[in-house]
Amino acid sequence: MPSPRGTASVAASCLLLALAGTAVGADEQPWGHLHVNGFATLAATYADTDGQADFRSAQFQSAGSGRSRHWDFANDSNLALQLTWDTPYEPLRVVTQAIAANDTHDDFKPRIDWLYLGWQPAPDLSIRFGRFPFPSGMYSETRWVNSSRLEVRAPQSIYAPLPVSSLDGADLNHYLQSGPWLLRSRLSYGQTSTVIASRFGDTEVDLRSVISAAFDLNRDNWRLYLGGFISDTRVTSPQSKGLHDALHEQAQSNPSLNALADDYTPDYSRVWQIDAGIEYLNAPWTVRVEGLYRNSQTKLVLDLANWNATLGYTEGRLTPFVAIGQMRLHEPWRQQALPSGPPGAIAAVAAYNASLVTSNETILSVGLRWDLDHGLALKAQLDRHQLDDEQSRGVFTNNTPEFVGRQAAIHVFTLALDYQF
Amino acid sequence: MCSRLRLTISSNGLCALVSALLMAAPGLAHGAEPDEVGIIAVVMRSDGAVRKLVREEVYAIFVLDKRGNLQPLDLPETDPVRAAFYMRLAGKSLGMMRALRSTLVFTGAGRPPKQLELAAVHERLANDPTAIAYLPMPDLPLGVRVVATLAPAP
Repeated sequence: MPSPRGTASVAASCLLLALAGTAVGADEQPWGHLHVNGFATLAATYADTDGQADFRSAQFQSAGSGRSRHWDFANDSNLALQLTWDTPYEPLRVVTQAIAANDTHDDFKPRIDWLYLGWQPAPDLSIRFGRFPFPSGMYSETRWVNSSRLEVRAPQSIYAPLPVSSLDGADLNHYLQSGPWLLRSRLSYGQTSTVIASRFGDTEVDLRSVISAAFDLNRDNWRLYLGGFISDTRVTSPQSKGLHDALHEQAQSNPSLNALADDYTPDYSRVWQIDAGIEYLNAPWTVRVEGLYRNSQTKLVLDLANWNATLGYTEGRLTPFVAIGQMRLHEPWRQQALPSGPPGAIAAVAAYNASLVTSNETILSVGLRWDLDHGLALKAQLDRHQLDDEQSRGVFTNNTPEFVGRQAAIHVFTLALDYQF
Repeated sequence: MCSRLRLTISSNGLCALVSALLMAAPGLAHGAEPDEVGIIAVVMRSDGAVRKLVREEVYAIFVLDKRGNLQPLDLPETDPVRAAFYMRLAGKSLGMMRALRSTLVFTGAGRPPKQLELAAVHERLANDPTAIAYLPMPDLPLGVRVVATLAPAP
């Protein structure tokens, strides 16, 4: 459940901000113009995992419906405020986005997702310095804005495996318009870090020297996206470090274990990802397809070849939709044969084999979006998760050993109310 | 001089959240009926700088926020003229436009047109030569110039 204290503090902050805004009044300048926008979602989720695991919307979440609680009201709920200050010096603006959402410690509290200084030296060129959205996919900038899509959450096969949503650094945006074509090119550089909590302790994730390029081509009802990033990534947890050290120690007498130890290196490893998508928005039809390919030199970051497709049909204010997504490890993990060496080596390899859990699964979704008055939208969505191999636990967490590779499908139902202003 | 910061809470603002939640139930059945709307005119004050706009230019102003020095105005979502305008201009339903506006605002790329009631749109057009709005052709106020039209699909 969201912390009542945290929720209350965010609500109070919003109210104070609104009152403060009224108080400063509507007089013109010379301190510029402040725009206040926001979005919120109140969601309830139920997952029928038979008490074997928790459903989570994103990889960094550590609890949810299924095992820790029957109904989950935290993982897909959020409340965000975005302040945009157009300074009197026209090329400069300051943007901040604060979002209260469930964090990795299952605590519903606010964080600053964006805080950047934007400089627009030319009408078609802008540069951002500070904290801005992590450029990971077609909808990375609106990942938390649930009212911007048909589904109750960003497609899990694309966005759930990425534990970060912002990048600290600089990025350059260029807009090129030619007739009906509009091309946005984005080049980013920076670093970020986060913590992923679990019942077994915290895992630290550090991404440095992140270089990203993204190209977004729009024409009328069509949008094409191609982007990618490369980074030095380090993932460390007490378990992975212990496994690495045990394998490394046993490799002194059994050199073949060196390669296995390298799979869990606590040092920085190269990770890169490319993402492509296409969107067609022409009433009554909504069509979206997006896929990603991720390559990693460490088993602590999954190699992925995931995709998602969504089809919606709008009739008045109702839009029923269907979606399908698949998560695939593009290079199957192989269990290692137990060596005929000392007990320590046998134990280390057994622990290595036990660590090889994948997220391979197919997610089928059906849902309905109902656009109400006053910026509200009501959504209902039913997801069917089918784990696709015997080592998979899908997007779920806190699983019992029996859950891994479960054959029976898992159904997840979510009811959500979105708001934006 | 007392310096003031001008602050805009878009659309109906935070206060609307509370009232919207309370009023959502009666609003459930309320839907625009764009098919019944006749010709829609895109208008400015008659002494405004713009004389004529093609569809792509209207699209850029109202959908992409490529507004230049113009100040585009939106009618409320409950007005069927708004639903008809965006359906004809962009092929987008109310929900699709909300999604596009979310993307525009929450990527920091722009902001939606200011939303005003019909009477306020008339007043703004009369007082501001940079204001640009869409109105049903038979109900145009005096002193405006039609810079583009959007007819219903045959």
